[in-house]
Amino acid sequence: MSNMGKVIVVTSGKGGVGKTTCTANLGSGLAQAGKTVVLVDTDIGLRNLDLVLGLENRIVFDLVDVIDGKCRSFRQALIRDKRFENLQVLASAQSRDKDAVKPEQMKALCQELKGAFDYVLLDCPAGIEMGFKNAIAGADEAIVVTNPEVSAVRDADRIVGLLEAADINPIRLLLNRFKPNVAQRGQMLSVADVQEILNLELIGMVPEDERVVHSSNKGEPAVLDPKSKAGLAYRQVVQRLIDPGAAAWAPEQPGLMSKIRRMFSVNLGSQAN
Amino acid sequence: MEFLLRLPFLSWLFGGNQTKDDSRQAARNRLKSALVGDRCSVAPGMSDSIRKEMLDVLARYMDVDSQTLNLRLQPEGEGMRWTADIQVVSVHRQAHLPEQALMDPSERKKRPKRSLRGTRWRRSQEDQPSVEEKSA
Repeated sequence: MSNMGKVIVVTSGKGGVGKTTCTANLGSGLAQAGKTVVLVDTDIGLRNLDLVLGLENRIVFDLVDVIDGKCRSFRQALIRDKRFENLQVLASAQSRDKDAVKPEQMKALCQELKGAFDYVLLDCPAGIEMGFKNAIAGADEAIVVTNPEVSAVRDADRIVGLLEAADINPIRLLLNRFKPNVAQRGQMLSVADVQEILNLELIGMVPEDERVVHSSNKGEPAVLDPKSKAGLAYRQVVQRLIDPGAAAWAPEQPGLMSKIRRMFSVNLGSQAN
Repeated sequence: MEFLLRLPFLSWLFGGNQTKDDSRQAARNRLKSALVGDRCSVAPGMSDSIRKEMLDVLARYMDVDSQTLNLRLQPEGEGMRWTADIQVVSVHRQAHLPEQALMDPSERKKRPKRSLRGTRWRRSQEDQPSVEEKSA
């Protein structure tokens, strides 16, 4: 048991930036890479991680049951994923509220879980109240998910301050829902802008991709969809999680139009000379 | 070939990199200044501790009216400007010798206590003319 796993909290401050989707995808990606993974939905009262993974019909016990000791051990409450047997999910309670759990209890649970798994990913609720404090109580590291929008970046900055105060290190940035074409036109914050403003290590950039919604609709993570650009980006983030020295995020892929544009502008330039 | 770029459609197609509608810069600048404000207002007691430390440092060199200390943080251009101003009552004679004011910490701690009792008090009343000479 000398090899303890890592507890990573996936958080954002603002809601709707893609925390749950990221957690589901990174968890599936890590499991695909052969790691043992447990995903914990800490959003008590607003359970969603199970739905994104297509496991909503299998829940018997939940996080609050484990904390309250209603099941023998946490193992009894874990739901095994359909696709990977080394991926387990601990669902959150739907009928309780955030006060049902205390930070010390979460800390103890995380300690137990990291003795049994390589990776413990915590899906954090939006906001900075009790739910957030519970989620970060047992975390070693954090992934801050944000979108290239002013509101999401501002909230991420606030969250980073709270994570730093809680001695969570490293804190890494995942820029979600990025639109390379819009950024290239100067109508959206670029990857470098967000990174500069938040001053965090970037673990990846995930482009906006309709296929993510299709995947969620079906309860299958996009990371397993070979055609999905977002899936590709998630696979790269997984590589970086396992090996921090792996190549950085996918280069900003300009659309077809800008490729043609660049081709022509080079030609125009050379003729003018 | 360059006249082609003047045609609206072709310039959109080939030369569209310079857009006038550059909301990115606006987002960058607004975010940066909002974050500085957020960080200051959120960090508990940050401005109080800056205030206190500044007064401590200044007290080694001069007598200041601590009530007049004014700290401001404002956006300026791409970055931020932090300004402080304060009314000076008098400047210590030791101000000529910063190495004395910055002597080893154990010495430094003793000094302000002494000056609080007597020296500083006298200076603020007797030595005022010399300060005006310096500033003139």
